[in-house]
Amino acid sequence: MNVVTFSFKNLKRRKMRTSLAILGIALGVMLITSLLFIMDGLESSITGSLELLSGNLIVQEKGAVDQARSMVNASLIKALQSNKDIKVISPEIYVVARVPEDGAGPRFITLIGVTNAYRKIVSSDYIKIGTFFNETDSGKMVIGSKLAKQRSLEVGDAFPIDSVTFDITGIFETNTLADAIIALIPLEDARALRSWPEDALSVIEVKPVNPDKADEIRAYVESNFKDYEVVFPEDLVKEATEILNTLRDTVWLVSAIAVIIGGIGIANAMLMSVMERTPEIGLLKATGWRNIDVGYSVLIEALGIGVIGGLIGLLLGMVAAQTAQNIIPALTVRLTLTTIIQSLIFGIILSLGSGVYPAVKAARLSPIKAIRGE
Amino acid sequence: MVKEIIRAENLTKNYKLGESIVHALRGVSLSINAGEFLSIIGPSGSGKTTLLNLLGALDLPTSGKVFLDGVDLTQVPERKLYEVRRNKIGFVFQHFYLIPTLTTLENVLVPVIPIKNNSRFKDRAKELFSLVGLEERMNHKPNQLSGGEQQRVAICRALINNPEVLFCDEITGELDSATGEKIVSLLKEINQKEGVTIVFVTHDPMVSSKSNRIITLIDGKITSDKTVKF
Repeated sequence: MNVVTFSFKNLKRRKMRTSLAILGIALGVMLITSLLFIMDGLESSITGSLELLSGNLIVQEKGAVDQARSMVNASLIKALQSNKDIKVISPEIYVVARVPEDGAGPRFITLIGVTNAYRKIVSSDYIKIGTFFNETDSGKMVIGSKLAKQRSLEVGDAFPIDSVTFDITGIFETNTLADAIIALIPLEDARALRSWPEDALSVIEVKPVNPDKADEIRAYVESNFKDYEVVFPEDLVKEATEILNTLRDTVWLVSAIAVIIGGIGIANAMLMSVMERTPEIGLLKATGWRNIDVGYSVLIEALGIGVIGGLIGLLLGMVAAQTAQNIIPALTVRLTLTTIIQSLIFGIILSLGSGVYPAVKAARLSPIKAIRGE
Repeated sequence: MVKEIIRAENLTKNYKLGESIVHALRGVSLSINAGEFLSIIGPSGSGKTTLLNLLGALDLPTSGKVFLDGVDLTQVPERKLYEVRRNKIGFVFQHFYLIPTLTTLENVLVPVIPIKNNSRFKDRAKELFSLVGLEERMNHKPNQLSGGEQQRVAICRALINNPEVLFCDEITGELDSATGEKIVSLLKEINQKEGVTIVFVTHDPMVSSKSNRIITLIDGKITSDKTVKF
């Protein structure tokens, strides 16, 4: 037997107290991991959505908060066509639509009215099942895979939105947030839904002949058309990442408090245990245990609680995150190794920290006073 | 030639008790030879246990010196005292202080847990179990043993490191008289077989009656020191 096995056997002496201390740390770690898993999922799905558009430029109304709140004039298309650096021009109208409340998932989705040009904007494996509609069709729709799943829709089914019923011709999948909240419809249907005049568009999405030309295209548009601006999805990725980082810090702060409460539980359990065993610790010292041996033994007990609690918390966190995803399908959960390691290390450091005071207290006991139970 | 194992020179020990100072020991000098089997007796509060703790490197005197096997314990820094406790001394107390979750064998090995490669002590432990007649009880938990048996386990624990001196503080206090007598006889046997010096602190006349030497302490001073011839 060595000090480590001795300490682990000590943990079994007050099973209820040890279990409660483990539970305290496990709940804290569960909170931290589940929130971070959700954060990781959110991050990859948001930055993924934006990266999907990478290489493309979006021409929108200057100062528009998002694409749905932008309006540009269709005459701009002609001007862009004369630019040799541009390969594809895709006029788009965004419609934020309320969907029937009978199904699961979001209450609002974004319909993007597109033309055939959109096929050249997205990647070749964009459509998972079915086909794109033709721009001259009306009442057709290509829907995101998660949205389809939530509403149990398949190719050929009808999806009523407002007064119009759309027939689904295809299902796209990008493995990003877009899958849960976006559906594509013909441009003219979108125009009708918004009751916009013929020359109005939300944005014009542009694919350069060569990605290096992006800056030149932006300079061209912004110098010639003062009312418009060019957005690079890369800029949006940066912006989103900043917001996500702030959110991540908040998640850490909130869950750190929970884990620290768990740590206080460990400190309390260890202090109680040291006090209860004071005469026994006196005996250990009287038989030649060094102060450091006694302290080490207490620290190992605290670490044991931390490691077991951390692992249980991690498992619970995975289950909680997965459950959250099942309840809220739009939520993407990603189990990343970084998060697993970070939360485990956090739990372990905290449990060691909580063990320090009880360990020092035990180590410093005078053998003779301890044996007398003072 | 007889070897001196313990020498105390003019030991005093004062405690603060609230505002007043208690003089637990008021100048105690004594010499104990290797292999002695002696009792320190005296009324409650006479300073017996205080003396035992000073001789056993558990506490430091207010003044005076304690030599254990030639080493002045008052000059050993606190962080080095563990070596003396580990290698030279064994303690048996009135309470057994056995750890309930460990088997009796594991309890006996508790003092050597921090020592590296401590599996070599297992044979010594088994030898001690047969010495105290508990070979069959090595894998029992303490609560499965009687008080006398538990005290015997505590004795094995005190002897695991082959100490030169075994200090026994009121060890019959929690046992009935028949069991107490058996334990003392056992220690006498160990004293003779292993040559370990045994120092009792006791109230119990039975214990002192079996000793070769009886030191009486009253009010922190030695009032008599008799060697008994059997």
